Amino acid sequence: MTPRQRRLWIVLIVAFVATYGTTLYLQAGLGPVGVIVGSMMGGMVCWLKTTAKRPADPRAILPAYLLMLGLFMVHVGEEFLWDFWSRISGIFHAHWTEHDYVLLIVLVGPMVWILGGIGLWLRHPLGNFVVWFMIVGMILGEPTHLLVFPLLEGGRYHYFPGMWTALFPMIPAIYAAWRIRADHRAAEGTPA
Amino acid sequence: MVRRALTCARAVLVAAIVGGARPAYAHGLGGSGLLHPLTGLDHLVAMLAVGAWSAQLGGRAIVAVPAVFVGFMALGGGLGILGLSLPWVDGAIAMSVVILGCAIAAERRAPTLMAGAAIAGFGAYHGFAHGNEVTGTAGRASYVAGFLVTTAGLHVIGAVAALLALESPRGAARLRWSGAMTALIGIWLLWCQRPR
Repeated sequence: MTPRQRRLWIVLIVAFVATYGTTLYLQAGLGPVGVIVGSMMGGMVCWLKTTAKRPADPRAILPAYLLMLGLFMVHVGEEFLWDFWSRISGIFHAHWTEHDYVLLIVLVGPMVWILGGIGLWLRHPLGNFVVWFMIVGMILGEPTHLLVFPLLEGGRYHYFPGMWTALFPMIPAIYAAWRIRADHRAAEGTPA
Repeated sequence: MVRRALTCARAVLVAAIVGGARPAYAHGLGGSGLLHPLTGLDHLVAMLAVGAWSAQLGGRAIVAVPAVFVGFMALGGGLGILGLSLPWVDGAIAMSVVILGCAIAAERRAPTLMAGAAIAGFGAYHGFAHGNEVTGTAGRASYVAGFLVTTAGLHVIGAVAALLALESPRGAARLRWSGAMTALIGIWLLWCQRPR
């Protein structure tokens, strides 16, 4: 990747995050925006430091990534069954309907994540960014879901939709992060 | 094999977006001005296409063409909020998608002044549509500011994505193909507005 391409990718991701983050803020409130935009920006930093310089080896990362997506969809299923959107809207005083949730999290999201997996396989920069975004999202967002969201609702720790399955996708995410970082360190000093 | 899968995935994504953007959902996600350009396929595609076309033109056009669009959009938004009427608004917006798509597909170099003049009318119509649908959920000034900010964001995304495409060896051809696809979406939008 040339320095010009690197700069263009940064502008593209930041513009997307700003536009998408504003939209999500209006729909779902500050909490989900903090998790998702934070994951995107954290993912961008990790991507710039590792796989932007040298794409990840898809044979090493793709199985963990697909497992992570599968476990995340189980988590989304739990959220859907127990009305996550209405509870999260109540916490952050937002207007997130079931239609909005299904459109964004159940339809558009998985399409982007699957395209991210295909991009990872093709060693495409955007695919590698999406992979890092998901990894950071699982590692930061899901513990927040498990530990923080229940406390924000009523001040006592209790069941919050999606919390039973929140940590499962974090396990392959931690492995993928470790593997990408280890591969990057091992490859440093050799030509890209 | 993998490239075919990617092509299929892109086709499915476009089909899902086009299929999901029925009139009932076209602007159905919220009342704020920030959301308006994002939740209608016609606006979304046109904004991205303006950015992509400006990048394809290159030079000063990268900034000038989107700036003219946003400026005339503000003007059109004001007319819409004042309750004035413009003829064939939805048709003109769909036609703007067709023409922008064709311009990208044809890759004809146009002077910045001519490109800006062409884009001004489109901007006014898009702004009019946004302004005409103003709701009571936000102040009018903040509503207009909202859709202008989102529009500028989409222009940046379209322009930078096109610049990145042009960096790759086959990027110019891919950009032309995306222009052709944009024009097809515009034709579909026009077809949706036929008298029934």
